[in-house]
Amino acid sequence: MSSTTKASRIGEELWKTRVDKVNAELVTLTYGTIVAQLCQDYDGNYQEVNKQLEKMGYNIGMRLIEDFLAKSNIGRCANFRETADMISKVGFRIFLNIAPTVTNWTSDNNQFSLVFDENPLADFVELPDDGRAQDELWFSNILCGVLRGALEMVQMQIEAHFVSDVLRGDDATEMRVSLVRYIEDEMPPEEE
Amino acid sequence: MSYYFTILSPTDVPLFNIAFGTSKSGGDGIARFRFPDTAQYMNQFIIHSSLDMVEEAQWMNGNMYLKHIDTYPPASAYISAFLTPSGARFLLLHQPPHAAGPNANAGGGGGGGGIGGSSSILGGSFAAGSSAARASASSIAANPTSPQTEEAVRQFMAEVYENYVKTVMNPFYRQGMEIRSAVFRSRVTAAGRKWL
Amino acid sequence: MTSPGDAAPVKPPPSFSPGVPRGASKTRYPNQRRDSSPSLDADLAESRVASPTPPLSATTSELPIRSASPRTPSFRSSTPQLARSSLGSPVDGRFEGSEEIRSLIIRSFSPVVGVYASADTDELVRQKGFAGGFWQLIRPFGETIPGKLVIRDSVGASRSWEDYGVRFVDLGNNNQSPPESSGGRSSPLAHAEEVLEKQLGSLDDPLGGSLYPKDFLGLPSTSPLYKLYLRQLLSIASATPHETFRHPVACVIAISSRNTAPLETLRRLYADTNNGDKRVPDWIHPEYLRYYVLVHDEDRDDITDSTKLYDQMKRHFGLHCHLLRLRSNQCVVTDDDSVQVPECEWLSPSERLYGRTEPLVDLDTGGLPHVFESDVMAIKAFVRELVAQSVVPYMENRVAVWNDQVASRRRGISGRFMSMSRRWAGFGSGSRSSLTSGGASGNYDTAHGYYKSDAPEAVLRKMADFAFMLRDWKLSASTYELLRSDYANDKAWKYHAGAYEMSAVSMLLSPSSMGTKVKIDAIDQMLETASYSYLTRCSDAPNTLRCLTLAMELLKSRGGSAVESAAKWAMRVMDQGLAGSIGQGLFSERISACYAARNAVPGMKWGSRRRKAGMWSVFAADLWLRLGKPSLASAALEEAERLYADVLQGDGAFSMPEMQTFIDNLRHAVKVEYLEARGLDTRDETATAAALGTEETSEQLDRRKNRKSLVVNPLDSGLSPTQGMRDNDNAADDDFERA
Repeated sequence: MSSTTKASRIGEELWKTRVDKVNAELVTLTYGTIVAQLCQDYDGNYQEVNKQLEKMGYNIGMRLIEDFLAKSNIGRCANFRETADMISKVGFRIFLNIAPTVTNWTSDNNQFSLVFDENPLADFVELPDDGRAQDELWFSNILCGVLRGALEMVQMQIEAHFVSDVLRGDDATEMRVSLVRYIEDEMPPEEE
Repeated sequence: MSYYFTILSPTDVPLFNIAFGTSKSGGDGIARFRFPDTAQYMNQFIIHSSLDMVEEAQWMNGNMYLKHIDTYPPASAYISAFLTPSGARFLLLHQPPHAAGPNANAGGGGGGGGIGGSSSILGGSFAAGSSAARASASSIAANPTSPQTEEAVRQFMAEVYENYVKTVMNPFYRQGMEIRSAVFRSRVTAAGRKWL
Repeated sequence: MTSPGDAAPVKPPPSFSPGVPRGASKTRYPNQRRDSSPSLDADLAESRVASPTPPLSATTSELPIRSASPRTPSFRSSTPQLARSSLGSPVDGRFEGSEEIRSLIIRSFSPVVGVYASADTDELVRQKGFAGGFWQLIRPFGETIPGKLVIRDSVGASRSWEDYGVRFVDLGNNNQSPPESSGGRSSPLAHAEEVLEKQLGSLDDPLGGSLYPKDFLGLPSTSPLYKLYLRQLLSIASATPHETFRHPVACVIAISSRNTAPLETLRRLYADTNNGDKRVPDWIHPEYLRYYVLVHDEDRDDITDSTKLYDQMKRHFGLHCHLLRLRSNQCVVTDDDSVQVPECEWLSPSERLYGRTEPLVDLDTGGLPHVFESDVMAIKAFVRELVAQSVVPYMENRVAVWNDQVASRRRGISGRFMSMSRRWAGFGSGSRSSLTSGGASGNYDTAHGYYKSDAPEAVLRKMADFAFMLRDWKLSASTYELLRSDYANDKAWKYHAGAYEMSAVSMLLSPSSMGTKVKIDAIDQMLETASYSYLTRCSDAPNTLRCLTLAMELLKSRGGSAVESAAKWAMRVMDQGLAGSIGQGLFSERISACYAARNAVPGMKWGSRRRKAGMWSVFAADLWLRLGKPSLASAALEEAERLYADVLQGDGAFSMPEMQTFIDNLRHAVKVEYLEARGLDTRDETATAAALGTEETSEQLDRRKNRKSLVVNPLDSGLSPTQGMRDNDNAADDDFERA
C-alpha cells in the first residue's frame, strides 16, 4: 500500500506543478470527433474502429512515455503491481487528471483491472443508437493502445482491452491489462 | 396543466419534442390536451404559428428566456420561449386543465346552430366539459401567466438548456439532427417533474 | 372505364400540388375558373352583391353618381405589372379591402327615414310594378346619395362624404318590433346563416370559384360571401330601446296627384304618425322630422295642378316638401329608356329569406323591376334633396341643441359633481326623478327595461347616435363615455353594453386616435365589458356578434399591433359559438386575413404573422371541408399556401411532420370531395389522373406512404393512398413567389 500512496502523492504533485493544463472540453470534443469520424469512415464497422483507436493509442503511448519519465523522474518499477500503481496514480493523473482504481489482480500478479470512475474522454458521449455500437464499439479504446505503446518502451509487452463501459449501459468502465512478458535486450520495434 | 415542449433548430426543424403533464398538485405527469387524440397536430400548428412572435421577440429582447410570448385563445394554449445563443428555440406550450380556461364557454354553449362536430380543430373550448379541473388555484397550473409560472418555466428551460448543451456536445450528435438521446429525454422529463 | 379524353374538361383544384413549392400556382387558377364557368364570372357576381348601381350609372351620367362600389379606383394600382413584381408584401390589395369594409360598416349606421304614403300613392306605384308601394320604389335609392354630401361637425368643421345614405323603412307596414323579441338569440342569426347557405347553394357550379374573386393582381380580396355575411349582421338590428340607430330620424309623408283631398290627407297621415296607430313607442323620441312629398303622375295628371298644390303644401307645411314627378306606366325591359332598379344592399336576413324572389339566381334579368330613366333621375334628385337639405341639417341641429342643453351640463363641473353625488335630477326636458338614492337615477323603467325617450339618458344616447350617424365620431365617443356610468348605476345592462360598444367603435373610427398600445388596450377593455354585458347579462347573441365583428374589422383596418386584438376578438366569436357553421368558416378566414394584414418590419424578415395567418387558412379549409364545401376549402388552402410560402423552406414542406401529414391529408380529402362534386368517379384512377393532368413522382410516394384518410368518406378508401397527384403546369409559375 505504501507504493500506492507514494504514487498518489507523486501524481498529485506532478499534476499541480509540472503539467500544462488544457481545456477538458477541447480534449473531449477532439477525441469524440476522431471517434465519430472513424465510425463514419469505416461505415459503422466498429471492430475496425476499435483496432484503429488502439493503433493510434499505441503510437501516442510510445511518445508519451518519454514525457512521462522526464516529468516524473521516477525509476524502474520493482514489479508489475508497482507498475500498475504508477499507471493509475501518476500516468492517468498527469495526463487526464483521473486515477482509475487498480483491482482484480490475478493470483500470479500478471493481470489486473483499471476501473474508471470517471472518464474525461467520454463526457457528453452517447453511443449511436444503431443497435450495434452498444455491443461493439469501445469508445475509449485509444487508452488500451496508449498503455501498450508506453509499456512496450519500458520493456513490458502487455495486452489491454476494455471489458465493460458505462457508455454501453454497464455498471462500470473497466479495462483489463495483462502482462505478456518482459522484453529483454531487444531492438525497439518499428512504429506500427 | 398539460405541456408540449419542442426544440426547434434555427431553421424551424423540430429537433425534439415531448408531451407531459404536470406533476404538481397531485398531477400524474400525463398530458391531457384539449384536442382529441387525433388532433395532436394542433400542438405543432400552434407552436409553429408562435414562431412569428418568437422571431419578433428575439430582436426586441436580449434575454435567452423570452417568457410567455404567445397565446392561442381557442384552446387556452400558452407559449413560452427560450432562445439558445446558437439560435435553437425551446418552446413550451402549456395548457391549463379545461375548467381553468378564462372564458370556457361563457354563455356560448356551442349554440349558433349545428357547429357540433366541426369544432374539434379549434381545440378545447368548444368541446365542452371533458376533463375536470384537477389543479388547485394556488398551483402554477392555475395561471399560465403568473410570475410563479414564469419562474417555474424559466427554471425548467434553464435545466433543459444545460442538458441540451451536453447533448449537442456528444460527438455522435450531428448538428441540426433530431435529438434521439434517451438520456436527454429522461432529463427533460425529470426537469418537467421538478419544475412544472 | 372513362377514357382520358372524356374527362378532360375537369380542371384540377388549386391545392393539389404536394410536391411542388406551395407558394405556386396563383395566376393559373382564376383563369381556368372563368374558362370552366363563364356564366359565373367573378366580377359580375361580385358587382351583383356589392354594388347596386352599375346598371344605372351608365345611363345617368349627367348626375354626379358615384359608383356604389367603395373600391374607388384610386386604390387600385394603375400599373398592375409593377405592383405584381414587387410582390413581397400583398398589402396593397388588402388595404383596399379594409377601406371597403370600413365604408361598409360606416354605411350600415345610416339614419332611418320612415316612409308613410297615402293609399293613392301606393296604388300609383303599384301600377309601375312595385307591389310594395312607394317605399319599395324609393328604398334602394336611399342607400347611396348621389354626389358628395357635406356634413358639419360639432365644432363647425365640414367634411364631405361620398358614401352617405339613409335607410328607408316602411311605416305603413310597421316593422318595429317590441323590445322583448329582440332578445331571441337564435332566429336572426339562424336566418343570416340560412341566407349564406342559400347563397352558396345558388351557385350551381361546385367550384364556387366566383365566391373568391381575385383582383387582377391575383390576390384575394375580401370574399363577397363574407361581405354578405357582414351586411347581414349589420342589418339584423331592428328598433330597440337601447340604441336609436333604427329610430326614425325623419318620415316621408307622401300623397299623389290623384288624391282628391290632398291637404287633409297629409294632415291625417301626419296625425297618424304623431298620435295615431303609427305613433312610436314610449322609448322612441316622438319628435322627428316630417317631410312631405307630392308624387305627380306624369302620365295622367296635369303638372300645373300639381304645382299649384305643391305651392299650397309649402305654405302649410314649410320647406320640407318635395314634388316628385313619376310616370305611372309600367316600364318594361324593352323600353328605350328603361333602367333596372338597383338591388337593395341592406336587407335584413329575414327579408333576404322571405322577402322577394331571390334575384341572385337569375343573372339575366335579376328579377328586379325596371323603371323609366326619368323616374330614376327624379327619385335620385328627391333623395338627395331630402338628405342634403333636410335630414342632415335637422340632425346637425338636434345634435347642437342637445349638446348645448343636455350634454354640456352633464359634462360641466357641476354635472360631474352631481353625477358623483348621485343627486342630479333630470335636466333637459325635465323628467325630475324623485328616487335619487342608491345611485340609480330613477329614470330607468326596470320593469320594461327602457328609459323613456325624454329621459336625459335616452336623449344623450340619441344625441350620441346622431353624432355617430353624422360621422362625428369624436363627439359620439365622448358622449357614449358620459353615459356608461349612468347605465351601470341603473343596471340598464343593454344600454350599458351598447354604450361601451359604440364608445369603442367611435374611437376606432375616429381618425385622430391612431392606435397606440394604450389606446388599443383601453378599447379592448371596453369591448370586453360590452360583450360581457350583451352576452352574459342580456343573452343577446346577435348584438354580441355585431359588437365583436365590428371590433374585429375596425381593429384590423387599423393595422399594426391592433390586428392582434382583431384576431383575438374573432377567436372569441368562434369560441363562444356566436357564429353558425358557415360563419365559423368565414371567421377563420377573417382571422387569417387579420394576421396577414400585419406586415414585417421594413427591411426585416420578422414582424409579420404569416404563420398564424397560414394556420387559420388551413383551419378554414378544414372547416369548409367538414361543411361539404370543397371549393371553398380549396380556395382557403390555396390562400394558406400563399401565406406560408414566405416562411417555409425552399421545398415548401413543413418541418413538423404532423403538420405536414395533416395538410397532406387535408389536401387529399379536398381533392377527393372536389372531384366527387364534379361527378367524377374517384375510384377510377386512370380517369382521375388524366382529369387532373397529373403524374406521379417518387418523392410524393415517399411522403404519403403512411397517411390515413382524413374524412370518413367511402370513396376515399377506393383511392390509392399512393396516388400522388401533381399539376404539370405548376412549375411555370413558381418563381414569382419565391423571387
